[in-house]
Amino acid sequence: MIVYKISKSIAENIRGIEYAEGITFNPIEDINSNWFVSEIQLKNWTKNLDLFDVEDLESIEYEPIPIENPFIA
Amino acid sequence: MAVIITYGSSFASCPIQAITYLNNQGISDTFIRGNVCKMVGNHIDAGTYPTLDVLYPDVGTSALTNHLNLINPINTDGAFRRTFGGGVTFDPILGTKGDGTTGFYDTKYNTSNMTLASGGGMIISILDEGSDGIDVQAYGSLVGLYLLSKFGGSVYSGALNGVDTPISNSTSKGIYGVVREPGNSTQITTYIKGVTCNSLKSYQNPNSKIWGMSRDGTSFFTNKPQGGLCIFKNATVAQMNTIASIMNQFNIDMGRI
Repeated sequence: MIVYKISKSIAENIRGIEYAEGITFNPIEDINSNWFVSEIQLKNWTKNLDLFDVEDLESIEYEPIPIENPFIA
Repeated sequence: MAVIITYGSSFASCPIQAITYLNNQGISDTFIRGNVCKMVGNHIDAGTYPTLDVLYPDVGTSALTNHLNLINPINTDGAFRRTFGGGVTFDPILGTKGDGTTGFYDTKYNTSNMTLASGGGMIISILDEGSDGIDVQAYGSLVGLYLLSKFGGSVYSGALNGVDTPISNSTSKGIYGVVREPGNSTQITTYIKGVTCNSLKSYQNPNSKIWGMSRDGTSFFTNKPQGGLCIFKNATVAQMNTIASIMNQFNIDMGRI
């Protein structure tokens, strides 16, 4: 899956901010310590917010952090 | 041809509970309204409605037409309106769906509402296996992936997950539930399309929030679409099965499955 790389500081700044009515940005970190937002967030971004330039974002392949057992507390 | 909807045997017209929800969410489509009316009427007729704390029918086309709790459809966290984050799409037929990397929702529901002695739990409708590669049997309970909890900060774990025994005869599509049987503080029963699988282990953390469509905040998200979530308490085992059956019928009526 292709996702769009952002800096850690941008990730911290936009987390929890609404990009459309009723839904917030949720930046995630991948296994390579890249922070990113997904395509759906960018595609559905309707709020007029000066947070970052979408055109400047580098697209990368999402590589999740492996989890051995999702049910361990 | 007119669409004939039966609202539940006790109702000549749509139950007021359904009308309030539909109006507050701005749902005007007559097909959707009729099916929500029928589903709510069935819960009332069956006596399961009073056990429900939360019911999201997933019939909206946006976050704001999908976020209210049908049982108490006002726009506050205390009423368990849900909030969405990351990439989520909304479709009344295809369901509410995360993007598999970032999408989630938070029900605001604290599982301390479910006392250990009462019959409480959640039932969720999974409409499609998605493409996230998450295998139900490998993780014991799909529900655990959806009914997730967040402890403050970055540590995530299960509210009613913690299931460590694989469910037999499970698939990634269908009605799933994790419940705590009345009077049994440790045993969790998982229902899958009416099939009961016993002897699953679980635990409960009273300080957790329940999350949907994501396992944790870093990497474990799913894109399996959802067509309804119920959270209930003080239900009998028979009522839990009835809740699952009613939600299954709702998804059939909606043309989702």
